[in-house]
Amino acid sequence: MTKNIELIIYVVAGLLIILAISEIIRSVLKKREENYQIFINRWKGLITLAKKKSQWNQLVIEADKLLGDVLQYKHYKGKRLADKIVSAQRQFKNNDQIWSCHKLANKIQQDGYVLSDKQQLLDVINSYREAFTDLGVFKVDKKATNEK
Amino acid sequence: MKWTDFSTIEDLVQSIKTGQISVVSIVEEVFERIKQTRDFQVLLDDFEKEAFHQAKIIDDKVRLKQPLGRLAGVPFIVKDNFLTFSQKTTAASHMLEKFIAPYQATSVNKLINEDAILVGKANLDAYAHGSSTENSDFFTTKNPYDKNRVPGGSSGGSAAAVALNLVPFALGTDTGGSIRLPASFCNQVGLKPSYGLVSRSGVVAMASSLDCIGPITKNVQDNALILDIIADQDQLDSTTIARDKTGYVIDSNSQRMVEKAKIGVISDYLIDGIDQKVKANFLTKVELLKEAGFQVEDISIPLIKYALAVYYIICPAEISSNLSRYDGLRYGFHESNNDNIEASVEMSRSQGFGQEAKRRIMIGTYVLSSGYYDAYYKKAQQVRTKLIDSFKELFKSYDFLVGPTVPTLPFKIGEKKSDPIEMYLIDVMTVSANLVGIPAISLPAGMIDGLPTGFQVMADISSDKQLLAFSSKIEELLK
Repeated sequence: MTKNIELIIYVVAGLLIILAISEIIRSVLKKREENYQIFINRWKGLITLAKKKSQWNQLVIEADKLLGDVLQYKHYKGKRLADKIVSAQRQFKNNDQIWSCHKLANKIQQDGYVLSDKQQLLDVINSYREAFTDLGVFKVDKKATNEK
Repeated sequence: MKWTDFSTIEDLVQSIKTGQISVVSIVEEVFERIKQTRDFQVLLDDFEKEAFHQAKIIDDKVRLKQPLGRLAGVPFIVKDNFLTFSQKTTAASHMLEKFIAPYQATSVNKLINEDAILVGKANLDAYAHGSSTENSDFFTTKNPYDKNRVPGGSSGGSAAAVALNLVPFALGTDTGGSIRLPASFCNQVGLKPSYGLVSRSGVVAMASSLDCIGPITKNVQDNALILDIIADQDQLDSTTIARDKTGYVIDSNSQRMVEKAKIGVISDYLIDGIDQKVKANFLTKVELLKEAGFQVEDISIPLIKYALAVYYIICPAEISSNLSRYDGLRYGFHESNNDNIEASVEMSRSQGFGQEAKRRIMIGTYVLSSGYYDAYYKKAQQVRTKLIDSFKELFKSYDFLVGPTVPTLPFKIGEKKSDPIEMYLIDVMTVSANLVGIPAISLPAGMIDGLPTGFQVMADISSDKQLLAFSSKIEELLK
């Protein structure tokens, strides 16, 4: 009889622990989704800069900053953004593209380069989008970020 | 809690980082103030939508516990001769009324990279030619202490913005006193750093051998913080010099360095053309320095009486050269004449430039023209070299040189506009620092008849850190 009661207690306790763990996992995932939504909203905001040619440079710089913030959020190590990109390189399907985007952002800020080629801008946007998808911030579906 | 409750930018940033005050609430407060103070005509443009967007990003970063810059969430304003992305840079001139720059000034980039938020661009004399903002092609800014008076210039909008509590700091440019003069007229701290200490890449050029960029703030500590962020060598500006290895933030060490400073009072500034009340107030402050234990002596720089004349030869010469790029063909105001390019350029320049720009182009091209070059420009450069030598010699014996910033109190709008020579005389005490390339600061020195007055301190070239440390030591004494 006492053995049965003990068994019931163990089963109930086990169930409670499983419930608690699943609740914790659920809340962590929910929190992560909320935080990802912050990054997605920023991306939506910066994509609107593509409408005006005079804002293309700013778009690239903002996208690069966003990449830095996402890598920071995901705890990739490194003092500078370049170091963080190195730490995260295995995550990216196309590492070279990300590097060329980051170099372009630096060129705009440090050398006064002016981005004026529309195709180059579209390539940059695609590369950053792919990077954010690789990092799990964006869903594979483009609609998730409301892009046209 | 409001941002104005914090005495320094550092305290404000600390509270933002710990989540005590949200950046969105700060930006709301800024735009509320901007709306309330529209009468003063301080800003040429403001960026409400962009500022709120940035504020939300920084608030999100605080929430995500991400690392933040040293100016996280701090709103700021720049004079409208700093190029900024996606917003117009007019330099308060019709010539650039619709100009949107394809790149951004290095100093603005540095501030934004530290998470500061650009909220607007301030009025100035067109192309920074002037001492009152009356030469702006759009409107005259009013002095925050008396709406009938000028705020000084050319960075009048920047100084008025800080005085009206729109923002804790603003950037200005100083070619012959354009930061120190409005700082004095608006009761703020204005620093002209050593020539080349702050990159001028992305700033509309006035006179390239004299132009400097500097901060206007409420106190010396904030000024030092902003200088620490913007001062550095820049490959986009070949005139930049190395920054102090220890930075510019004021600490107990740097203050200890200036405890026994030897000060020279430039007596030449106190002889002619100075308002007697300004002189008496200045001499009272000098006495306070003596009482505080500083070694103070009167000095004379015989050549200083030529500084203004030298300035108004070299400066227009460089202006005429720098303004030659505005031909109406590549960018800026364009008046078309399909038959003749030369006529188009002539029409664009004569209609695009204001009166003061034209006056300076004429003086500049005159002093540079063959036959007059040796008599004016070359002679002025020779006197400039001698002036540099005189200051070098003085700094062997003295740590700092002091004088009033401006010989008068803020004057009434329109009072001096009809007489350019009288307007030029306002710069008499500030131009020397630009000609010599040394750092100089204007500190609030109390009120006379309800109007602010300034106390100028100069130091040897590249002694910006010592200048700021000394200024922070005496700023309370002077108020």
